[in-house]
Amino acid sequence: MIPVAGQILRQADRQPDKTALTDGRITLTYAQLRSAILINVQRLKSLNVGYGDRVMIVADRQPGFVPLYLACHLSGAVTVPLPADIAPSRYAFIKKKVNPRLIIGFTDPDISTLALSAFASGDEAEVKAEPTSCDCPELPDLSDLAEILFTTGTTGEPKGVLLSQQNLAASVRNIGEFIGNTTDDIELLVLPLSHSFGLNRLRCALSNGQTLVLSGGLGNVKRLFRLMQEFQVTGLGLVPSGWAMLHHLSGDKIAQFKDQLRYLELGSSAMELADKQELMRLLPHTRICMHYGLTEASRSAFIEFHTEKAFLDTAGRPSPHTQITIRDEQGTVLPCDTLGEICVEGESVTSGYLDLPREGSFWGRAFRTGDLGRLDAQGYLTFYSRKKELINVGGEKVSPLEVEEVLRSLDFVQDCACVPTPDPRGILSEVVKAFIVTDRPELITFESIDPLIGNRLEGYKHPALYAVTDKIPRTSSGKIQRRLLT
Amino acid sequence: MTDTEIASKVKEIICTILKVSQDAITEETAIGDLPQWDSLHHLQIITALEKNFNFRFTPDVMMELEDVSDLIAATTERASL
Repeated sequence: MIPVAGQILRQADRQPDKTALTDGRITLTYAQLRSAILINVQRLKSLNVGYGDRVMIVADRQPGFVPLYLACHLSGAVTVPLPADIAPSRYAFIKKKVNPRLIIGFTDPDISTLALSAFASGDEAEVKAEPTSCDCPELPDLSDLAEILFTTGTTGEPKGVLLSQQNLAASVRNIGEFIGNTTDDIELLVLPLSHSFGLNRLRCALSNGQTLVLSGGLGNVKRLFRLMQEFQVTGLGLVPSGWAMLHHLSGDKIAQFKDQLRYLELGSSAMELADKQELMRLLPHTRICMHYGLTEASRSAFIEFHTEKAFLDTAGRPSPHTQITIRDEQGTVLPCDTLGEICVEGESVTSGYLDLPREGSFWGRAFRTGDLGRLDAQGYLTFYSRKKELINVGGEKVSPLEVEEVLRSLDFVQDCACVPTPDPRGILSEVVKAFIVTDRPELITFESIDPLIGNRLEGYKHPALYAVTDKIPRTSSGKIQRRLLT
Repeated sequence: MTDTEIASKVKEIICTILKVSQDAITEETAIGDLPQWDSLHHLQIITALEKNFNFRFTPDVMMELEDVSDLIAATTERASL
């Protein structure tokens, strides 16, 4: 096993003229991608970014992001990919936590930053103009820290998940083994690149020598289907709400690609059985793979719908090279068919969180997911519920505490509590519903409150529904009893 | 409502939902061009247009939407029905 960036450089040796990346406007061959990566390694060096330095980078789904992201890894730097629309408070918290050497793609009132365009994007003229004979730097060690991905903590504060070069390389190996990609596959990437799911799809496709087609997202369905047709796309990744959105916006159009799509990877939140069956009907020949996993333990389990259709109500079996155990509160491994905490072990599993002790998050080497489930005698995992109080909005995890803090700052909100509720439109698995105690009930509407929240919270964290209540139920210790609010 | 007023209202709805100023978009701005214009916000825009102008987009219409001018044209056509 070698680091993912090294695997991608090897692909450039094997097939230099093959298209590595395109967004329909800019196209990079593997040789051009390698040149751009190596130029960016030199630029990072000239900016004094080196081994172990942290780089906060806007995770933009455009070709320019990819060579810079991989150059950071090749330089031994630690990437901190963040979404472009990150809330200012979250950005400030993360910046303080990671103390970055360099910030790319964000404007910052306190320090100078660089634009993504300050780096080589693989533009043909640029890579030809610059020497490409610069020595390929020594590959980082597998034990080196490669990435810090921030997730939503139960307290509302983001938690930095530490991912080593080995974690990333092992994930790529495990996913590739299950899905069974070939070098001839052409993948359309519509997932955000600030999350584990999208980044892993990018790393899988390029380390495997595939062609990656970057799309602006699922909203622009016309462009999406045009790219699928033009590049003869054979695979893509979607969160279940992404599929619901695509279905809502385009009906059964995906079925026109049933003989072209070889694989579809789904994940990040649960999917209704009826939706799984509908996908199987529309894509009868496609390998439809759904994962259960977390940023901390990427792709812990997998199921393929057609070949494992008797087990569609489960999350599948442990991914290749991954062990799942169900444990009690003392960390003791429980027998089959017993409900307990899902714990995951393997080379793809994080070593822990930035500046936080391992205690409480691990039993030995097994990561504690905080999810409740059970394993049956055949090794199939059934997911029951999340122990942590998080709301899953289309795959994005939201801490109710973070939303409540913002709502409580509004002068007409005396008390409040947020709970998950099914999306009334049936697209996102859950949305945030806020219960408010107030003496101004006429102000408790989406239209009046949403603009007041503004950019203090990312869009998916904004409550979609509001209700007025007399009192927020609490335990004797003051903890909100969310289950009593419906 | 005149066509110009509809166009102006459509742009206002888009900018309000994306939390950008009116200068940030033109009629050529494609869905997904701005990082904020992700699928979640696109759905909010569609829902807001349907609610504001009292009609429903069908999948065959939504599949043809590629930029701001398409959204204006589709809304103008349906709002005046």
